[in-house]
Amino acid sequence: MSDTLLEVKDLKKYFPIKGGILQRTVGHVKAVENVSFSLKKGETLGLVGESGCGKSTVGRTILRLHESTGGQVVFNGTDVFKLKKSEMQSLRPKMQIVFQDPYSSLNPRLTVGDLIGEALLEHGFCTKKDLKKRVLEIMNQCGLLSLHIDRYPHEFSGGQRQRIGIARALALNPEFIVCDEPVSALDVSIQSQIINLLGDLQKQYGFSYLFISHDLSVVRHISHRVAVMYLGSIVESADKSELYENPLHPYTKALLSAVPVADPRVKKDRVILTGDIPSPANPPSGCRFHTRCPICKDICSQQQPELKDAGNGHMVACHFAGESISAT
Amino acid sequence: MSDKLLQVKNLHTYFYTDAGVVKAVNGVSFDVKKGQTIGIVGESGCGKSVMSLSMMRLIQNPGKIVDGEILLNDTDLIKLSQNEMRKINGNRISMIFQEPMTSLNPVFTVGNQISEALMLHEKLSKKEAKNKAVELITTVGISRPEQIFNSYPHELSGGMRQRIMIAMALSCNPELLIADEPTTALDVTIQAQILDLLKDIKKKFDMSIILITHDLGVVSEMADYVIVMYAGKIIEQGSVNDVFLNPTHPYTIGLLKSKPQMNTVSERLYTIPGQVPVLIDLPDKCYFSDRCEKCGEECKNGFPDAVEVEKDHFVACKRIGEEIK
Repeated sequence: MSDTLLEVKDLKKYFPIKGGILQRTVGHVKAVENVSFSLKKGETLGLVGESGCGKSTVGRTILRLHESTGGQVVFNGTDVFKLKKSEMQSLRPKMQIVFQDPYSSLNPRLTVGDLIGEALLEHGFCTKKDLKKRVLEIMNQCGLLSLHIDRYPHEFSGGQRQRIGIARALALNPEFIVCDEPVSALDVSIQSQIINLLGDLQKQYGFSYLFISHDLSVVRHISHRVAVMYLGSIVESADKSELYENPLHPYTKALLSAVPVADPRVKKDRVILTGDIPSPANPPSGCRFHTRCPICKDICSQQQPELKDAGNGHMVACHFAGESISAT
Repeated sequence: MSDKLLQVKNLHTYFYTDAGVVKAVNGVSFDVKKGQTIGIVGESGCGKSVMSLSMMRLIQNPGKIVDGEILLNDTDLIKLSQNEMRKINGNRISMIFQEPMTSLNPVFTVGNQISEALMLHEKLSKKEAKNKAVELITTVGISRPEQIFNSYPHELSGGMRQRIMIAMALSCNPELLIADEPTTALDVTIQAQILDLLKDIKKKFDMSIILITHDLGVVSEMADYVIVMYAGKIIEQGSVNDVFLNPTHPYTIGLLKSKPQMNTVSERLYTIPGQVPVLIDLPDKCYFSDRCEKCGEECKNGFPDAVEVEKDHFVACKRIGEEIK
């Protein structure tokens, strides 16, 4: 398996809930619970789910922006969680992240040139002399003009700021980029520009992406494989076409049917889930989805289903995977 | 003419800023029929929210409605005094906003906030208002209405808060509901619930809805009639089938093509080059011409008038039907 770039095994991340005068830990928010997946070179894995399902936490824990509670992340044969701080520092250029909000993720006091060049100097990727040339080269690749180099982030629109964010990640020749909702804050016409840019860069450099998004149509466009998360766990993962055409988990089915399609001819049998997502601090027993599941039976509230292979690498965690759910 | 509930005629709303005059809404005209759902789409900054605020007369300094008429059953809302307008807002026209967190008052219980409008507009007593409020909370699909009546906004989830906003908007049986991005802050499964609810209450209360959104999918599902805005102007309007199945303005075509679709897979997305122009000192030409693939000489000379290409399908473009160069 030499082409596997990233292997995540049983990743766990709990956030403590502090309470009382002494600020003792009174409970845990189980943001991520036993998440496992692997990512090949040049592949894009889409991670979808609703807000609060832990998808961003997965991305950040892999990069050790949060320290994990348990589990293992193997990147190119190295166990990331066992590295010392200095060793981690030298691995960082290989693993980069693009954030959702291009407004708050760029330092407003630095010019574009400094923003992109900062990391290059820090990691010794180029000398001060070559810096400007290299920065301009990267900016050009991300569709920024050379006259932008001395401008500040507030002078740019959302789409262009996102290009700066991508340029920063790109500067260090990474192998793996976590894209945490990179297009959610953008308008449709700008969104497509950024998605195409990410696709072009992947073709050119062979990056692997972990593409985190709540937008199922964007994920379908950009990913090779897709994993669906619900309350901290992956409930289904498969190749893109398999997952979208033949979803097995009732949550995935509901999620897919809930997306409005921009075509008035399409009349859908919509599955409308009742209720809200339960709090991850106090998740339901058994299958975490059972409180909203339209085909829930007795066993679902008692026993947590395991993620099992339903054929051709289509993994699904449901006792009644594939059973049809009646549209309401 | 009796089936027209609201007529907006040549509306102009400008903002007078230090940098210059921002023409946020620049000559917009359309009608809302009784029982119709109108979808207004456009990207950020195209003036769709300012237009809805203008209809409620909620534009504040430095903004001003400089020209136009807004006729609600033949009453011109622009000519009314603030006091007269207060009798209409929340009563005959009501609005739901995008952010259910910031549009509810955090220091009052939701029950208190719903009953307030009832006591003001319908002159109900406190007790009657409470009964009506509980009934409304049930109507918007919340179980345990008595308990929810006494809770504060922060105790509720985003979807629940949006339901409360809808309950508030419905409290005085409005004839027109303006929904400004009602589901943008919500997850898809919750969005589906809220859209479903809006469809139900529209039937039940027999009202018209103006739905403002940037999500083309939501519009195609909800609206009967669609208005596409760009840089403060309407560039295309027509029935939902006309606009989505036979889009005619290059911007509408581009917008529909650049959205990744659930039911089709393409290798590369279509993109509209460039970005939305700043609305200050716009030159006298088609505002979309800089980004348009069809742009020709005549486009640089004056903003095009709307042309009726089919019955009730209007497009503001001088090069309709011409091939892309």
